Amino acid sequence: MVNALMEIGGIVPQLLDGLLVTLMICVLAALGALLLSVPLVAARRSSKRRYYYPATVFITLMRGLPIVILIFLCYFGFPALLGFGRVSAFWVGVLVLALNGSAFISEALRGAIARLPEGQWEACKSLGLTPFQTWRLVLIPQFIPIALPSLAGELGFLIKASPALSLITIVDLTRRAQQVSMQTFDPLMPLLAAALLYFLLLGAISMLSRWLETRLEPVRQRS
Amino acid sequence: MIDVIANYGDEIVKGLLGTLLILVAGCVIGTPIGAGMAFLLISSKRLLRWPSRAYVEVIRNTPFLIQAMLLFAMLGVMRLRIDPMLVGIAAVAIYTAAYMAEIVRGALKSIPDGQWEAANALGLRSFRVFRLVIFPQLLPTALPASVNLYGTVAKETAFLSAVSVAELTFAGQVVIAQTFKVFEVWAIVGILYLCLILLILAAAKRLERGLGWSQTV
Amino acid sequence: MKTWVSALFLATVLSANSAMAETMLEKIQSSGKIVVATEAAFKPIEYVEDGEIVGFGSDLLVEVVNDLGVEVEQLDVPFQGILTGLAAGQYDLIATSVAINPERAQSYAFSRPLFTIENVIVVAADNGDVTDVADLNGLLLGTQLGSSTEAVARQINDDLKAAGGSGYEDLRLYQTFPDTAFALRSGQVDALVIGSLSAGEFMAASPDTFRVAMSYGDPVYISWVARPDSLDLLAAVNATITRLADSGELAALQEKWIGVATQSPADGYLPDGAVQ
Repeated sequence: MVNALMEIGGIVPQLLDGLLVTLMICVLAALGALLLSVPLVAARRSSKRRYYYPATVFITLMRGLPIVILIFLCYFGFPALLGFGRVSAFWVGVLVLALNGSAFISEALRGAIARLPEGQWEACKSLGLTPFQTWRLVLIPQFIPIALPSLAGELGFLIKASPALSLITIVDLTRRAQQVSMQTFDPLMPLLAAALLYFLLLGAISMLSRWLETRLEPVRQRS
Repeated sequence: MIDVIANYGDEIVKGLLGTLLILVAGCVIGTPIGAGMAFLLISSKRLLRWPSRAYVEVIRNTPFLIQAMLLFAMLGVMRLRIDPMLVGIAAVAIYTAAYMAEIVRGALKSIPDGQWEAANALGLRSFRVFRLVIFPQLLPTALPASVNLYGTVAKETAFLSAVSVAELTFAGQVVIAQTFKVFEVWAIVGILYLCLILLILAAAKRLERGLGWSQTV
Repeated sequence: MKTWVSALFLATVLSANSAMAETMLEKIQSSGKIVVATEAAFKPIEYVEDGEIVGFGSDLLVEVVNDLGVEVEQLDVPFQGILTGLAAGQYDLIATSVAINPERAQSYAFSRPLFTIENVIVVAADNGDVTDVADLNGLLLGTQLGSSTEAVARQINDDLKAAGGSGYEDLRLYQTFPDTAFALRSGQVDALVIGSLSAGEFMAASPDTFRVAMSYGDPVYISWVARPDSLDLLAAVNATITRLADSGELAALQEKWIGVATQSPADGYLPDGAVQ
């Protein structure tokens, strides 16, 4: 038991660069997802079919396809079909995770907007605020308490999906663990070390998410 | 695309059946285990509560692919030769149980303590209290949430291809190895997943609406 | 969906065709650059060390590019999409180990072989039962998904059945070559069908664990690949290989990286029905 722990402890430092790649891709993707979710929410709330339908189809695709298949389609499938030159696995990874995340974040935001009392719009209008001012001064501040924990939650979700990156030559935490096991010819200890690192990372993120939720709770209740 | 379906359709269908088998068997095994574990999670005895909490947290805070790889590695260390399909089912069951436990725990928590006491006061024994009073109230929240979970699990099963379990994604890789038709194969495989998962999610939505009555009571 | 796909495909083919007014070799020489694809995951032929692609193949590529007098851009592409990418025109040449087999030769043009390997059956070191192909009846076999050895493993099974045997219990396909080694070592399978080069690699990494029970079939020629429409590029590549083979440098490179000099036949390496 002690020997096993020592061995795992010895492997952990070798995995840190993989952990960094996992974290970098997932943070970039979570931020990208947040940015993408804004036009998506707008399109889903739009009464114009040419905005509403494509956004709905996109969200349905993202909800209905395994991340592994999305990654394979974007890394192998489309470049082969369209004759793209070089595609960077790193950026395909960021893009796929961001697209996938945006579908889920935008639905959470849309739900939050739908729950806002109608009266707020009218009150702002009667105060003479423009729609832009209404969003900036009144509505967006109310979303931040919803968006921040959901962003942290999304980051955790993306990290759990990110081993898919190891399937397209990205040397993330999972791939790094496999590489170490190829050198030592022992798959168990490197995998246990990787599991430990994922657990600590995801545990920290879910604690952050819970902390944000309680910190921001009073603001939300006021809305 | 037509020629891929004509020549390798049976290979892909076999993969789809593999995915369905893993999904159904894994969820059928994992669901009752998870539901039972929910009672351990809310138990007042630490000896019951802590191990189950540890299990749920470990599974929910590690990626499914790592869990599956670890399961295969552990069987390897023990030199146990088990059909990879069964190992895949076990991985899915282990995963499903942990998420299921949280769903049921959440539903149990939403039921006021007073109900247990009131039913006890009526002279009902614990199991009957559960069957007649508590269980019907769990369904409206727990049932749609579990079907949603099965949709997520269906997506996760694609990771099993990386540990050489003969499911749909793996079948796609086998066909690509022989045809090199990368786009066509992933498009076909993707459409099959899409149908399966959207069907499950639609069922969850329906259950949410259909059982919504109790929330208005 | 179908029409959309075919329209895109047609557009790709047409744009590729219009660029094809000059031959591939002329295009490379006029642009001063060749783009090659390598899957750098096959030690000791092509692999990454300190962030650089190195190995037997890299040394050879330097010679080829020098003879062409152009710059090289080398992409690290996963094997899964590497042949389709060539067909789609993403790069000019595949400079990675590809075994010549009849299926591939129908659509792709192969260079003169760079080296030769054998298909071998590997078992656990303490397994003395497997000495002949017929001993594989009823055993659980493993090999790498999509490698040329997958086809060989299926062929052996067909042969066993044709000879009245029961065939394998099953054939397990693994994602990577180390996965097959783990599976054999942990008793998940009884035997592996792999290339002699891979067998040597993991016998070196894990001594006294594995044993080569026998080799099977004809030697396997390992080549680089070009599109059938770039035969002049292929001829230039072959000229470099021939120069190195005649001067003995090819054998020296093989000894440096693989440990032994193997064959590089000048002809007779293409199967019947090859496209080139």
